[in-house]
Amino acid sequence: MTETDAVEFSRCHLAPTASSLAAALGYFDEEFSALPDGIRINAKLGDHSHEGDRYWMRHAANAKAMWARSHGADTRALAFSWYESAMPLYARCSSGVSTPVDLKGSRIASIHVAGQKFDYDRTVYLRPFVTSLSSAGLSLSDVEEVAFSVEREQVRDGSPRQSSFPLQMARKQIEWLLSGKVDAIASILPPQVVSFLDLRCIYDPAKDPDPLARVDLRALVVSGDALRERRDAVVAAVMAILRAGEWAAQHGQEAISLMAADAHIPEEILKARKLDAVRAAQIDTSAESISLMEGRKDFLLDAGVLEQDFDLAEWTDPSVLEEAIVKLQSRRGTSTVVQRGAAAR
Amino acid sequence: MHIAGTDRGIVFTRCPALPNAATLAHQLGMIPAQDRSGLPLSQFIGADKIAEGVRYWLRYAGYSKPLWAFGNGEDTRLVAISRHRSACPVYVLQNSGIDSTSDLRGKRLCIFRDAGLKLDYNRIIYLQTYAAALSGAGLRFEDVQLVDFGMDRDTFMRRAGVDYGRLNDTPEGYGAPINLFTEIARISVELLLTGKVDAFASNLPQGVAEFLGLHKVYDPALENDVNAAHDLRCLVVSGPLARERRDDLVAIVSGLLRAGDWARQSGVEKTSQTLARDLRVERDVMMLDTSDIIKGMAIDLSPDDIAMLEQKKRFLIENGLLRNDIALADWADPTIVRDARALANTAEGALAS
Repeated sequence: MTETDAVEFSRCHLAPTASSLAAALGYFDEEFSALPDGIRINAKLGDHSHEGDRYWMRHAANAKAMWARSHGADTRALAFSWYESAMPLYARCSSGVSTPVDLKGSRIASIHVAGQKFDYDRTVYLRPFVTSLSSAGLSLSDVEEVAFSVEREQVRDGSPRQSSFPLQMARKQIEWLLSGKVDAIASILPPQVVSFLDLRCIYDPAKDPDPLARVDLRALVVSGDALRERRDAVVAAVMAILRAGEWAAQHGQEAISLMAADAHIPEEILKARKLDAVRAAQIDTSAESISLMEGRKDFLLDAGVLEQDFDLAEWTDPSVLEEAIVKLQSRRGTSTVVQRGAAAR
Repeated sequence: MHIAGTDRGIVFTRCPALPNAATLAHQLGMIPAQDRSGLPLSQFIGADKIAEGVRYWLRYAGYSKPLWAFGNGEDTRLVAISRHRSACPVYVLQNSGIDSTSDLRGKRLCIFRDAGLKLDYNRIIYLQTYAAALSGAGLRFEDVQLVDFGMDRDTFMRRAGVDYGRLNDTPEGYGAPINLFTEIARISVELLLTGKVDAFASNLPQGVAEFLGLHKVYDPALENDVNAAHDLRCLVVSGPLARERRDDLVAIVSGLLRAGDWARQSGVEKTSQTLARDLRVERDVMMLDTSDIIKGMAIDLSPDDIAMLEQKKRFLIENGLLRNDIALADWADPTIVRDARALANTAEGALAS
């Protein structure tokens, strides 16, 4: 077996998931060591596109995976996990912008990361504007998008960062706002900074009753070849993630600490984001998750980020999650009927 | 401004922005409500204009304006000085290429200017910081470009929710979320982030500086030269008060001395909360520009204090802010503090307060 036969498993370094916990708790190592000889998985942290990898899995944001799927990528979504990530919108107190209605006719930042086939970050920073405008009966056509091209350094293997991309973008956007290039920005800012700079929160997705406004599910995606030819390894990875979710349900506070440490994100940032570590550590293919993913896909289509639609149900394969649950139950000597879509809780 | 009922009474004003022993003594009730003959002693927190036209007055505030006024012939006496470790650091953007104060050569440094004042005393605070930072690198003001900026005071006071000219009009305990110095800092940060200047001097909340990626290129907290790291605040009185009603003055000053003693015994937390209540500002906002609050509550007029004031005076003269040199020995009267201390140590001193 050569190195290229190994399954490459990557996890996002910005949005902690149960995969962060599975890595931190050593569950990946435990499950992978039980695999037959010759089957290997390499767990990695950071921006990994897996171009050139035949066998791979990734637990990260959903937009890029959906974009790839819409372009015919041979992938399957194995499960989804909860993540509330949308950013509040801020304007200067001295401006006339104080509610989403006031955004009409204003200039907002449209962030483009140069040199990427799929501009994931544009969707991240645009989404709170779309949902806030929608809450006021407006749309993107009612505002002026001011394009800013930025560079994003690829971060791999979780080396400690002096400043993460979200922090760099927060600083850039503050600069654009203060210099009058835009009238409103989307960013997670500490309350002390908001107060000091005399900014006003004009919309907070966390308070939006519509879950689509505040939730952006993480997707556990696998390459078709890995699913077909390395299924045992894929199931083992999912078992590790399920175990991490169970552990988190018993250790909420510690889960935040471990997630922060794994991603090299200050714990205060995750707490400031009001991360629900227990919920974020669960994976499922529930009807609620599928519905949220459908809504997310519609948003990406409406925003022109996805050029073509695809069948979400066809993309989602719950059988691996079900198999992993059964195996865990079997290992523990328990046996219950596995409900399709439910995780082992 | 004429204050009714004060023709024979005494008016005591104190700085509305930065804490001093008068701030504390007022809160602690250690300043007598009337003089020894039963005439009222009125206290005001705010601008010194409140005492205009008053014969018997005291003011506790920064050193530069009374020094300048005495230099211009005002009949006053310097009674006490307090040292405040309150100098500002100089910030630049990370990765700006400015790694040390020597890199400030040719750079744009922003500085607050209040064009409406005869003596721009707030500007002097920042000038002092820049002078200290530059001199450490062998630089002078001629080696940098000072970029002036102003402030719309009406907007500022609306944001703060108080009128700093007459802070008495605001209920004690109101906690303004900003003060003059945080507003100056905010404007400075804006100028830096938008590329209009290369550096600024101000005290910032640490979390704000870190989040915005600001780097201290000069930190007076690390400065060995106490003159660079300290600011002075002074108790100055009208000449008639010092000459004609010395006993009343001694009684008042003994209250300030007792307030300083109280601070030393009570600690930072209790003292700072008491001061913030008087200044009608959030405690953390007030503390930004004060790093040794207890020491700042101690008043004296020692030869060391006079020597430090002499250096401050030289600075004003060298920078064209004080045209007439003055003999500090003629202005200062250290006997008041001496006698006030003696009074404070007696039972009568306690009763007087």
